[in-house]
Amino acid sequence: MNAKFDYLKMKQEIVEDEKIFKAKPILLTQREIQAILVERKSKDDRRRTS
Amino acid sequence: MGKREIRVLLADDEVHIRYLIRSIIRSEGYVVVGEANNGEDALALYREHRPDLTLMDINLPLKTGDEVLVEIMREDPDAKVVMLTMVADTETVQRCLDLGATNYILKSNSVETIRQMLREAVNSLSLEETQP
Repeated sequence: MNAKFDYLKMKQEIVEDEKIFKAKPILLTQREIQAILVERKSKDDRRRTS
Repeated sequence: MGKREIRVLLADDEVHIRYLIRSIIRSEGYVVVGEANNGEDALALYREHRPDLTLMDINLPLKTGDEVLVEIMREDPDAKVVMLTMVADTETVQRCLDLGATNYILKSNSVETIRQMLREAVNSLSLEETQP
C-alpha cells in the first residue's frame, strides 16, 4: 500500500519537475545567436536564388 | 571622396551603458545622433534623425525595445536595428530577429567583442549600399 502511495507521489513530482523545466527559459550564448543569424541568412539567400 | 559619416541612435535606460557604448561608437569614428532612455523617446528620435544604425535595449521604460522595433520596421522596412541587451532567452532572440532586427548583441560580451560586432554591423551597411 505504502509502495503504491510512494509511486503516485513520485509520479506527481516528475510531472511538477517537468512543468518547471519547460517553464524555464533557455538562454543563448552570443555564439548560438550568431549561428541562428547565419542559418537565417543562408535560408534567405536560398529563397532568393530559387 | 571622403568616407560617409555613420549616424547611430542609442537607446538604453542605463546611463553607464550609454556612456560605454557612446565611447565605443565615437572611438570608431561614428556619430551618435541621439540617445534615448525610454522607448517613446527612442521612436521619436528615430523619426527625427533616421539613423544609419540603431542600437536598442529591450527592457526600456514606457515602450519596450521590441515594441519600438515593430514600429520602426513598420515605418521603415530598411531600418538597421541591432538589439543590445542582457535578455538572452531563445523566444526573445527569435522574436526580435523575426521582427527584423539586423543583429542581436549581448551586453555580457567583452567591450572588444561589442566593438567588433558594431564594426561588422556598420560594414554590412556599407556592403548593402554598394550592392546593385
